[in-house]
Amino acid sequence: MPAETTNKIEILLVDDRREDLTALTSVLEGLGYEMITAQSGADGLRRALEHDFAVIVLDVVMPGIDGFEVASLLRRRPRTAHTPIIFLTGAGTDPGSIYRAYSVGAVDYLMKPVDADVLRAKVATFVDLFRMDQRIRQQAEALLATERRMRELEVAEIKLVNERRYRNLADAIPQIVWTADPQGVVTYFNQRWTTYTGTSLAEPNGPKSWLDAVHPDERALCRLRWAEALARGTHFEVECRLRAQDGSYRWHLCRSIPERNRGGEIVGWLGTHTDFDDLVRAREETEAARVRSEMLAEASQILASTLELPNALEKLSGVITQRLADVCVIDAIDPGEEDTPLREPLIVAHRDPGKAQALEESWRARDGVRAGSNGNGDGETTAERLARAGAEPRVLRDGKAQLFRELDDEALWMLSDDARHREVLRGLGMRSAIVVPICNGAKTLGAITLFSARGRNYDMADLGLVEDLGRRAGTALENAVLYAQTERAVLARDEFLSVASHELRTPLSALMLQLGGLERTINGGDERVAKKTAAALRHTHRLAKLVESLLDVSRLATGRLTLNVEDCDLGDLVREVADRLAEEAKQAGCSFELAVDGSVRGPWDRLRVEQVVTNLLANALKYGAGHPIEIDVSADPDTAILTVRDHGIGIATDDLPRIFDRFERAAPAHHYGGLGLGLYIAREIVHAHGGWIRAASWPEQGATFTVELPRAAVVASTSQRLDNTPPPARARASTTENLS
Amino acid sequence: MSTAPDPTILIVEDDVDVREAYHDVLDQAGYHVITAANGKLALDWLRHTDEHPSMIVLDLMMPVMDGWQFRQEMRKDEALREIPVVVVTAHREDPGIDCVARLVKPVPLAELLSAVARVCGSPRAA
Repeated sequence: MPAETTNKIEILLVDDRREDLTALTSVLEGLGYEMITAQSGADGLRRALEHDFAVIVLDVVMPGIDGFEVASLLRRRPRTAHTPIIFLTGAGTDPGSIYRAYSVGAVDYLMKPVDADVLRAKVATFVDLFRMDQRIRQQAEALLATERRMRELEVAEIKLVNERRYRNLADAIPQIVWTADPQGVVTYFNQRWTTYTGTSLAEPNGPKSWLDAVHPDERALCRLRWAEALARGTHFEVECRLRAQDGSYRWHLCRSIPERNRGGEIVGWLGTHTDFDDLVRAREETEAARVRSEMLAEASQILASTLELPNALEKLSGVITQRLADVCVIDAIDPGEEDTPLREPLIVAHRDPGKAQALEESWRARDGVRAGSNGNGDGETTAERLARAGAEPRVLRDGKAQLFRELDDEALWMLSDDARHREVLRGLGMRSAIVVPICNGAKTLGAITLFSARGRNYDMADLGLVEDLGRRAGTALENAVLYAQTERAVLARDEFLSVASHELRTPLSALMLQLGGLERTINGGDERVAKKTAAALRHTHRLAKLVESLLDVSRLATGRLTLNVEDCDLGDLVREVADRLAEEAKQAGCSFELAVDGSVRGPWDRLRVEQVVTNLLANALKYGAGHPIEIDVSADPDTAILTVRDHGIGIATDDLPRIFDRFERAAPAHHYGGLGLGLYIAREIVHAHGGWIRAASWPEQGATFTVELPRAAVVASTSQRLDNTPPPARARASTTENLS
Repeated sequence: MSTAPDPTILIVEDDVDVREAYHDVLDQAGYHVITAANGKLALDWLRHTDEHPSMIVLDLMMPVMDGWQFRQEMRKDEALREIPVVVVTAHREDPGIDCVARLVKPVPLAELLSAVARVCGSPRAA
């Protein structure tokens, strides 16, 4: 405002006559005014555009635009609408001119020649008015400026308070919060960011962007999305891992929205990062647990489905390479030869079958394997054998699983001491490994080795899973070992039976012939001796039959029963057997009531069918309790039917299902002798013919046995069974059958 | 009645007790019995004698030369080829050998005698 008061005062003087302008100038000179002169109305108007005049002194009578027109034009312009105008006119001006002068905006009127003092006084008055007006205007402006400043201060204060409140709020919440300018340059990070990342904007080398903390794997995607959001001014959302100050990464949901002013213009960005890593981890763990349990279920199913362990382990390795590993190596003992040293891995499987062979060759060529082949395995434990065979030594020695999270050089050394083998592993890009024992209790039976070439490295959860697989495989392996041992024991028993019965036959042969000779020599001479000789001979025959039964059992168990099929008449055959047993029937107090319905012929092994009939009749005699025994032979076009019905002690319902099993009898052994083989042999022979045998009975009401034999030729083979009995044990190379 | 000599039967059997039993009962029945402990001995005897037996009772499982080998050698020899052979087997299954009759161990005396009688007739002394 003070500066305004020192402003110069400008006065415009307009007159077409030079001498009048000079006179006016000289009157007003020395009063501190600056005088601008114009010699025409047009010149005066031009000057009025360039300056702010305090007063305009205007001659009325001028050529061109006269004073009235000039005044009227000046009044129409805002700049000069209120500028005081003093008209000058010659003497004797009529009152109409004076009135016109005022009507066009004059504020005063002076006659020429002008009185110098009057002019000075009038000009001074208007200058004062001008000055006062200016001062008032300046004061008003100053007042306005002060008010504006105060309001700005208040607003700034409010903004500051708000900002502080928002930042406190931002610091209080568990999310990372940041703000950025419209270009995306971060202007603020909350406390949570600093705590989490260990960086802050205040540091000289602080982060340039929140993108600096994003995991390299997701950074490119984040950068792209963020650039898109910035360009379009749209909401931004992405899931990524952010690096914590300890170097670990946690999953965050990153969101940002633009902030706009009233005009809709973007003035900045507000961003948040919400940590949902626990959720991801829980999700991953749930998924991993699901995969684990699925895998265990699949593995258990595979291992339980068969006792052919090598097959099962191969399938298991397939499951492992499908779900858990790029390479799976299984070292295990052979269940059939658990005492033989193990020299090479049982299975080497690669996810990519094309690579499996090279890998397998390298595995088998390991130094450890060659060393292993030198030993003979005497006095070694399984673990030692396996270790020597090149399986993972420590695991096999102490039965403890090993996890190699990172397969660095040291870890590779621990896995293999063969340089070429290590080179192959390195070449396949193996990054992580697990070695677990295949164990049953404290017994180590092998090892499972897994390699991962991609994806994540193995962790403790994987180790636990594979250990579980190892235990399950161990149980299955032990079962297979026990099964193989049992199978061998059964085979040994059957072979023993076979050998023993053969061996018994030789002295029996001699005995039978000698007794026969003795009987002939006596020839009824001494009755007592003849009776005893006949008894001895009878016992010898019985002994021979028992031996024959034992041999039959071993034949049946080992699947070596063969049929010599010929055309037979079942009626004749039954009649012959009944005749042969007539003496025994008499002694048992029973009689045979035979009914044969015509001729019943078929392609059967005569001796074997005789054996069936003999066994059934002998059985009926044994349990027939002295009642008649009914024998029926009948046929339809396809089947011959033999029924043997006794009226003896019968068979308890509970015992019925097992009377055809080996060494089984329904009646107590101490009351009724025999090996319990007759019905078993009968059933096997009938089955070998492709027929059926069944029994029906009620206690104390006797038993009925029914045999059905097909009348069309059936390939004679014990493997063609129609019932659900297990097939005979697999035939093993044996020469015992040829012993005579 | 008949003046023809008793039929001679060659027993080829490695077990001494069984061999003796065959010998005793057939001898008692009136046959002339020669015994050999294996195929080789039997073959040697056959090749050095002019009186060929009426029949041979042949065991199969024997040391040195078994029944099958013996039978093969016999067939190669013109002079021996036609001698009837009764085979004694340990089991009912067909042993796959060329013979006139097959007996299963242990052989009841009646079966042996009837088989022998069928092949070479009853002896004079019987």
